[in-house]
Parts: sequence; structure tokens; C-alpha cells
Amino acid sequence: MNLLDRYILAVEQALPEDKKSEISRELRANLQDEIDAFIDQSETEIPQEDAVAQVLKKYGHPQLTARTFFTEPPLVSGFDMPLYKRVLSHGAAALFVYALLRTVVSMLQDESINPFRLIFQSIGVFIDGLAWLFLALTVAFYFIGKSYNLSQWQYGKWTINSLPNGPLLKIKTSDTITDLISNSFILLILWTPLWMSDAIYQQQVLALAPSAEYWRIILTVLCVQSLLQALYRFTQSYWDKRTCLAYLGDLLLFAFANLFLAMTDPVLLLNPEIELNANAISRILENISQSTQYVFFSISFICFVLSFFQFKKYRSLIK
Amino acid sequence: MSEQRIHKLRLELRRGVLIMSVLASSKEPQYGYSLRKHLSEAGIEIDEGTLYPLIRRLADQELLDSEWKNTDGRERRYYKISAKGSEVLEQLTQDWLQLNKSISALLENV
Repeated sequence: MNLLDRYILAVEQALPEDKKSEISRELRANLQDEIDAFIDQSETEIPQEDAVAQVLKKYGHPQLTARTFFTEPPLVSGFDMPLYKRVLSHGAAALFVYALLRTVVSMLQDESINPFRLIFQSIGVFIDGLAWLFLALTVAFYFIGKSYNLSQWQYGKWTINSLPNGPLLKIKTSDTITDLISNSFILLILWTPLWMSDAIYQQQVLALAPSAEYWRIILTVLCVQSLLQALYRFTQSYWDKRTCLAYLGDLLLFAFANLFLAMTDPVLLLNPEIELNANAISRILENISQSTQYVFFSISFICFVLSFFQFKKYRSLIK
Repeated sequence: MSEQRIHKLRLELRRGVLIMSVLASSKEPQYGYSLRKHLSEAGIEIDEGTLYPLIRRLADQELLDSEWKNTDGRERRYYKISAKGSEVLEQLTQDWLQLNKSISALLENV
């Protein structure tokens, strides 16, 4: 096998099967002409092998030569990349929430609250899910991008009325994730009887006071509406008047609810049937049960402060 | 500005014009190397890595017709402008002349 054959063989490796023979046939013809021209133009006599080597060197790496004839379509086109990155980042955020909640639930069921286990197990679940998300999303974008014009779908419905008529205030994804996590966590805690086995549930150190059972419903409604708002905000990039006002209302509802809880009888009590172990977690929970009023006051204060900043955002939007 | 950047800008400037040059040079049947030589003699230097894939693309777009022929004991693929290619060339030529006129007027003040 001579040098030219070896080069063409190397180029063929980077070509799709259906184009291989045609392109290599044409490439061979072109290369032979180039080699002849090189020999003719040389001032001194040059051996055939040297001329072939010189011309092939000028052509460059076989894969680069193949690429000039045939370019593989990208998995995600440049136009679709912003959408791809957005879906991927939002998916990763949702996955993070899921990983954290799944780990917390599993730890609550095992009655073992180990911070290192929480971190490592959450990271493990997150990375495992992220790998699948990345793969599934890339495959989906590749096949959808081949059949449909995603850019047209994204930008085709644009009208002149959709232009912003005020300052653009970005919704922080981190804030939305915090809301998703906190609301999901409260819902999980509120409804432990639904997902926790009876045996473990009976061993819970803290329980809702029987007189405060109606708060389970009130807080569920508050959390669900807050969760839905957070999910909606996930699809939006910037605050508008409606989302801003709705979030302000959400914060005020939580602020007043926590203020009310702080001023009434304790709603969280120590389970009288449990004899507390002398471990650190039990002591912390006991302290929490004794100071729930302060906790509710603190949450209420934080919600009022956040409401104030949200109100400032709203004012800048309506100006 | 670096020489490399200027080279890139020059390539961008030439890209559209090359298609027109290839179509115009293919009124008579040409194979890859003969076309490159023809363009070179006309003052348009184009490397083989750009020209050969370009003529294949133009053939795929049916702007060039092609056929394999044996000449001088060697098989070569010959390209010739198609009817569709001639129409496109005519339109491109008009656009080019108009564009050239406009740009020349702009460049007079430079």
C-alpha cells in the first residue's frame, strides 16, 4: 500500500459509509493531479514518493481533509443552545431539589440525621440524575432539532407588544430554588403520616398539638400556592407586575401566618409517649419545641423584610 | 489588528464571491485541478481544501452538473454549470454589479 492509498484510507475512516467511496474516488483524482502539478512545477527533479509526501503534508491531517468534505451536524445547533442551556439549568435545579428532599425523607425514615450522609447522598443522587438528564436532553434536542425548527417555535410567536415597557428585573433562580425546597420540605413535614410508616411516626419527637390540627390545612394551602408560584417563576426570566405582586402577597401571607402562630399557644409539642434519648438531635428538637414562638417570630420578621424589598421591586415596575 | 484576524476577514469577504467565480468558470467542463488553475490564472488564489469541497456542495445543490470521464489515462470528475446554476449566476451577477457600484461609492470617501 503506497502513501497515497494510506492517506485516502485514513480519510475514509472519518467519512460516513454512504459517501465514503464517492468522496475517496474524487479525492484520489484530485490528489493525483496535485502531485503531477507539484512535480511539473519543481525546479529540480523530485522522486514521486517525496512529491506525494509534500502534497499530502500540504493537505493536512486526514480527519481535517475529511471534515472539509463532510461536516457532522452538531448535537445541538447554535440557535437552539440558549434554550438547551436554560432547560438544562432548570432541570438541574429541579433535580437538586429532588435529591435533597429524597435524602431528607430517607434519613427521616431511618431516623439518622447525619450531616455528612446528607451532603454525600444528596450529591450522589444529584449527579446520578444529572447524567441522565444531560443525556436525555441532548438526544431529545438532537432529534427534535433535526425534524423541527426549534428557533421558529421559540421566537415565532413574538409580537411587538411583548417588548418590555419598563426596567427588566431578573428573577433569581437561587431564590426560586430556595422557595421550592422550603415549601416542599414543609409539606413533607406536615404530611408525615401519609408517607412515613406508623411505627416510625409514633416515634417522632415533635408532633402538632391536637388543638392546632387545622394549621395543617392552612399551611398546606399556603405552601401549595407558594410552590405553584415558584414553579411558574421557574419558567419566567424577569419579574412582571403580576408575578411580583403575587410573590409580595405570598410573603405577606407567610409573614402574618407566622406572626399569628408566634402569638398563640404552641402548635408543636413534644410527643408525650416518647422518652427522649440524650443525644444531640433530641436535645435540639426539645429546645425547638420550647422556643417555637421565637422561631415563628423570626420567620415572620424575615418574611416582612423580604416583603419590603419585594414591594420596592413592584414600585419600580409600576413607575 | 493581527495578521491572522485580517486573514479571517479576507476569507469572509471572499466566501460569497468564490461561488460566483466557480460558477462563472464552469461554463466549460472543468475538473478540480483545472478549475483551480483557471481561477489562479484569473487572479483568484484558492486552496484545494476550500475549492474541492465547494464544487461538491455546488453539485449537491444542482448548480453544477458532473460526470466521470477518462482523460490522459486517468479518471476525473468533470463539472459544468447546470441550467439552474446559470440562472443563479445571472442573478448573482446582477446583485454583484449593484453591490460593487454601491460599495465603490462608499469607498471613494475612504
